[in-house]
Amino acid sequence: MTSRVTWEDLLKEYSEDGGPGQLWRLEVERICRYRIRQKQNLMLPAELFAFVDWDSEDLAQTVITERLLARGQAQYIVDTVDNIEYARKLISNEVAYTLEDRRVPNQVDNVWLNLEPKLKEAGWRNTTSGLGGGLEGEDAQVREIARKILNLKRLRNQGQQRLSPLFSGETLMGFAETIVRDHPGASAFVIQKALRTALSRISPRVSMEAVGSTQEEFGAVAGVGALQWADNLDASEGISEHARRIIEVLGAEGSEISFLIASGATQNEIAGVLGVSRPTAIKRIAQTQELLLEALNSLELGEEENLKILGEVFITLGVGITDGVLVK
Amino acid sequence: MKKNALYPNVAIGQIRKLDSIKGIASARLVAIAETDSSDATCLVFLLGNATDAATPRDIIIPKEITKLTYDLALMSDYLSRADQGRLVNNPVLSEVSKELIESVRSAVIESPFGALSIDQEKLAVSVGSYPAQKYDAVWNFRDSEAQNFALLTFTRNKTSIDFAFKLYQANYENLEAFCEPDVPIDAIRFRAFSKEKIEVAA
Repeated sequence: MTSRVTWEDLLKEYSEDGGPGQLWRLEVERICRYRIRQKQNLMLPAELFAFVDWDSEDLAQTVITERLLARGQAQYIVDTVDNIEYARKLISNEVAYTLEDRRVPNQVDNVWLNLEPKLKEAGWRNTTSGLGGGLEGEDAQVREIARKILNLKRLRNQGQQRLSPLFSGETLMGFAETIVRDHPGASAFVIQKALRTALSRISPRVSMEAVGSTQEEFGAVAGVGALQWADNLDASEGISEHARRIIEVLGAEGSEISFLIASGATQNEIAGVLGVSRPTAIKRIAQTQELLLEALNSLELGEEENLKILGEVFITLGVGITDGVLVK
Repeated sequence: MKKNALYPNVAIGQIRKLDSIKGIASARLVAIAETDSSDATCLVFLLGNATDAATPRDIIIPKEITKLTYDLALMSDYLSRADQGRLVNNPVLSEVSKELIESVRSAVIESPFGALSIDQEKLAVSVGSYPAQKYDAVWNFRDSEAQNFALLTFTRNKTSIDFAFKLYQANYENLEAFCEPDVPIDAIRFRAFSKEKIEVAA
């Protein structure tokens, strides 16, 4: 099925219906299908994103109601966009945000889960009563706590396959003691709000589309990778299946190594993420490259197909290819 | 050029769409930071909808201020020059106060690194959060936004022939503009040539 929906079609429907209509829904659904396939390739269950199962219609409905309508993003797209490729990129980002918003736990939850026991250990008790200063007082407290969070020393990136704890146990303990000393009345709600203020909810796994690309670059992505923005998101089913098998062969560690290499990480950084010495990391990198090559050769396809599959593998892992160059 | 209440002249604080350059760069919303009638250009801040991905260098302008249906992220580090001609055919979507624009401009200079220091309460805006990780997709997104913005805008060179020609075009009917001391000699030559042609034709 080849889609020939133009930006003018979407714009016309938007102005006639006073909002996103059937054509918009179909576009969103197509992009949702692609994103879901990526998640499935990584063997991520739908429950992780608070869905019963992976259903592109459900996800599309959530994107439309929570992002395009409730947050006015459809209007932003109408106000800014002048071609279909750019519109698709923006919608794709909305799908990524929706999934990340629903992810359980997300980055903030992750830090909170580690922080809460430390707070209790330091003598903190959750209060549900007011802060005395009303909403204004609460906001001031949130900002003050957020500043303290921003000053905490962070851990190095722990890789893209899992959420990073961000802070060491020792750092969190020190922070918990600061809270008990300086903000004894701060409730869990206030501390979580401060965490949200200080930290982006976006984890390293979320792949935002580089919406700044030119139309030629969209074409390049479509040609080398499997996004197929310029034409059809559905056409890449076979490539996606091969990519899924290769990711399976690579395993969690191999995928992690592939992602880090493609992102330009140094051997030392890879060693840090894997928790091994540099010589061991070099050995594992070589093993991963060998595995990847074997997996591709076993498909017995041409160079062009192999390149497309490799592109899909990297895109699924959160890395893209533009103009033949790997981009994170 | 469209001329009605929806399409007024470019003024500081306006939020408008900066037209795309076909095959080169996509359109973006911008906030006008400074206008210059001498060559019909203006300085613009890049705006975007990625408020979830905003960093401490971005100002999140809530929809309550703009009366739009969405929040906007003003990327303070992305300030560049654009031709007014690529803005005037698009309606003014909203306006922000000159005070906000000035505050952001001075904050960027005063704090070139780290979080922007502006009076968030007084201006009723907020700044973004730090991305969580080194390999966060946010960095790549910002990189692509910067590249696109660089293609949409330009750096003015007052000694270039391009500037001289723009000044001549923008002030064709305004002879006084050519009497200023810093007017490029080329602009005066363009003006002189065109006048001769008119006289010959007459």
